[in-house]
Amino acid sequence: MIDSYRINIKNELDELATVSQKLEELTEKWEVDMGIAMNLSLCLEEALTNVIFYAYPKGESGDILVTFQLESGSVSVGIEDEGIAFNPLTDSKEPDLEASIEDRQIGGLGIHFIKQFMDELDYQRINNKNQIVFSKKI
Amino acid sequence: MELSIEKRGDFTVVSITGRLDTTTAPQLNNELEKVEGDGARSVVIDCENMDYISSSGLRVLLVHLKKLKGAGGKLLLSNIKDSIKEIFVVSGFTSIFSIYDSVDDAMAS
Repeated sequence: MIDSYRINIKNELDELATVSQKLEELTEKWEVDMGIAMNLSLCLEEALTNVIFYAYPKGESGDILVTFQLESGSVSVGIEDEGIAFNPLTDSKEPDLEASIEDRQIGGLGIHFIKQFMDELDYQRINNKNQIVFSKKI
Repeated sequence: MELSIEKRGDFTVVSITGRLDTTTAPQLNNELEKVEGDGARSVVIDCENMDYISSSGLRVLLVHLKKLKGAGGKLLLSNIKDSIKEIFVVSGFTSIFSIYDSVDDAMAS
């Protein structure tokens, strides 16, 4: 089965619940394993939260396009924004997982989750837009 | 997400039900600030009914672990579901948090 869904949202945190709910409905419909569905949900939240908080200057309204796609053997999530360039593959600092409690920082965990839990993570900057796509084999 | 707070001896047990995500993490943060403000130094976060956690939730746990340890106290975790244990492993949190199979085990530590 091949299926896809697109949703346009604003860079507002309230949108997260709507988009997460939609992904949950789709993964149920697509009969995705619950563990994989949860990892997809986690990576969606991490990637989208980054865009909502940091892609656009504070107080400025911005558009975000989220796409979900079922292909043969995988589910992919795409997030596109017109904010400042950010390449998660190169611009995100890897968290120091060995640090002591005192030194441990939380930054970078979201992107780390996407790299660890997904099979693919791609980034492109096209026409002044950030395009992130990550996918998981099902 | 729903939170319930129970005082058990010297411990304050905070039970989380539902999703600890970017939208609900501030609620847990506020509640922990409140119990710490009331003097709690030994806190168990019971995760038996927690279905999901993201980095925003982990951030709140880390902030309060540091805060309580700095004040001579402790923050312990219990009953983490297998389905979300991997998130704690991948984040490296299993090596900085003390995680127990039950609230009783945590309190006996």
